[in-house]
Amino acid sequence: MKILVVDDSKAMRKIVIRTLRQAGFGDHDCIEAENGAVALDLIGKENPQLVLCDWNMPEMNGEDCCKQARSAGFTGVFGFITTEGTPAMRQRANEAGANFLLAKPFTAEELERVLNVHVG
Amino acid sequence: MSTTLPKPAEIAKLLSSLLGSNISLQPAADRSSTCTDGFASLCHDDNRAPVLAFVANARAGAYMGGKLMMLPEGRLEEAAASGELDEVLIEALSEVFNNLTVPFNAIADNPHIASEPAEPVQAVAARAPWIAKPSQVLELKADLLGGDGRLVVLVK
Repeated sequence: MKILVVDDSKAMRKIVIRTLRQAGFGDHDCIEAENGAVALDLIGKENPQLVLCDWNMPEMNGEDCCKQARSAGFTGVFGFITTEGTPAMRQRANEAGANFLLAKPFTAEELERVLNVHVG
Repeated sequence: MSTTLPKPAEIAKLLSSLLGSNISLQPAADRSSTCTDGFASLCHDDNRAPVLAFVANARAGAYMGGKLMMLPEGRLEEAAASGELDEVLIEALSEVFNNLTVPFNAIADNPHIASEPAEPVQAVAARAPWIAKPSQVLELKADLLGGDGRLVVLVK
């Protein structure tokens, strides 16, 4: 499985990839993007099966990235990993076409649980 | 709009969960020099108006950033002793500050805030002189890396 990790923080991208490994998803191919615009480009070119995306980013935020990816026909799993975990943000994530929103800080067990639901 | 500060125990709980180690934060009776020689992140509301700033001294910054990135303790002790944080530690500290917005945003009636990247506090003070005269101050301390770690919240 190809997994796209999107966050403007290089540190956070490393942490997400490390947590994926801890959650049992370490043998998958991870690619990275530093904002929504780069992610959208990679979604078109690389066709990842799973996108794990931050919400607040420069250039293009995660919400717009998700909306545009869905409009362009992306059918993979799209999940947000963000500090923005309020019910209102979850609603916006859902309306943008996301499959889930995992609020920071999160554990490997929480990531494993949500990925098992959505990617099996 | 006023800002209500979370309890120190809530901040400690978030940091413990984020960093994977038990952190006990106590309100500091004294004011340290953290707000003149530490590392800070400005937080603004949805209209980009400044609301508060997080400030950490080098020891707390090295500890929190380094634990987040699982860096060797020796490297963190070195950074704490020198008072200098390298690019990796500053970026990781930015992510810690980003996570610290969670307990503030969870309080009803608080403005919704987002954090900016961390940088030396002098650079932040040059853009936001109000941090020298905040309306509220919460200074917390913890024994980190064998010394006095400080985390300060300054409310505009």
